[in-house]
Amino acid sequence: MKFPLPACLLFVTAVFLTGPSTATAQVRASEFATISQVIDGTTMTVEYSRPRVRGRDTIFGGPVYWGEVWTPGANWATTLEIDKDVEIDSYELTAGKYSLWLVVQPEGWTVVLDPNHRLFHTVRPEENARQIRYPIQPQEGPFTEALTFTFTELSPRGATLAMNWQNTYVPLEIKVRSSRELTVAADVAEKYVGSYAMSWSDELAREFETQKDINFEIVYENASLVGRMDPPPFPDWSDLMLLTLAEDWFTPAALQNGEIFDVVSDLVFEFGMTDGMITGFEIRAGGDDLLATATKNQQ
Amino acid sequence: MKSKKQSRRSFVAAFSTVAVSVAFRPIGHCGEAKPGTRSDHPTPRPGVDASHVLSEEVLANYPDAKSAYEGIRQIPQIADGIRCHCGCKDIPGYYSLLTCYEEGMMATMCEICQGQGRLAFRLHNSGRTLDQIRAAIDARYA
Repeated sequence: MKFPLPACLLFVTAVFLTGPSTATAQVRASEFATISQVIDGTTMTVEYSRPRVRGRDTIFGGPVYWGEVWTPGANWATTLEIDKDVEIDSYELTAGKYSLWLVVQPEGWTVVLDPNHRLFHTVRPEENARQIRYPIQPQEGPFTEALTFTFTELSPRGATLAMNWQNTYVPLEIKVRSSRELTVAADVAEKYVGSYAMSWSDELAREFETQKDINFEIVYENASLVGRMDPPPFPDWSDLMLLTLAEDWFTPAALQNGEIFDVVSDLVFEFGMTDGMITGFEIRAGGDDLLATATKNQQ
Repeated sequence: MKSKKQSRRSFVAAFSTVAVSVAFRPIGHCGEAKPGTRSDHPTPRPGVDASHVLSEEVLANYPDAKSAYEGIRQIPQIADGIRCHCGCKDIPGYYSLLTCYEEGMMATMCEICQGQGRLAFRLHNSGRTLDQIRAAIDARYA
């Protein structure tokens, strides 16, 4: 079959214009990958191509040469996208998509995050004021054949974004912003503080064979309201931070070592008041079912 | 602590299925919703009533939803001024939380529709205005 010359030219032009593609259906030396992590409503996504060691004795020092501005990946520059502002290794990073580069040196590397995210790996960005640049020390890690990004060390406040390749490990610490207001003003908190006689509903206590009548103590610690159940229905719930939802309404968050590890947004603590004094609270579920009632013990 | 089901997840998951035997006793004192959670609520339609809310016979198959429907039947003008936060609003024919309780809508199966209905009824009974109820529903479900 013969194609007319203009059609051939059009095809060839199109191939050159589209350039390297991550979606082409063919085997590639460095296959495309994506990894995403959500923490407290902040989504962090890394898109990259994954070169392999393929028997090479060294990677850093050659074929990735000292002094090179290298994207940890292949083909198009590796990107880091965040949908909310975060801190990365204590540097403020505004929500957006960035190309990620590392300046590799024998004595220490430099992280470069450039807002121009659509760059081919050979089009290294010049140093500019819009970039985030900071030094980092690579570490030795377990042998990893294909360059790999993982989100490790998850916590309620963030995660470590780790790059592993051959025996090199580069951790980037990302801290997200809390989606909830954790603090309560002292003069507002004062009225809730005290001990409460709390009762789970009959059905809940029966269903879970948990003690129906318990003590609930609310204290003001580190500018937050913290409730302590004694005994809790299970160990995870011995300490609950009360997060403000509306006036006299709070959502509980389970604490571990003083840090929130689970906001139980299905539940609400509704405090009741008479003559300006808190009289007790109810715990209600998403369907507005009443799970527990509590009466404040008068001092 | 003796507990048959030590799992926090099973405990939380069970909240929606536990029928509560404690007497209905509203003590909530919800005022303004926190900033950023307000949403657009519909204006109640003049003369709207509960005549299209599913009947008791239909609800025989949905015993868990029954109390929510009973509440909504008593406050159609209030329910018609509340925007549902569960996604009902994308269904053709939707106007308000009241619509969720009519034929072809979601409240028979949806805990959020039911929760909003029960909360609206409870707060209305305790003397809250429509604006206060809207603020409470936004704070709780938005």
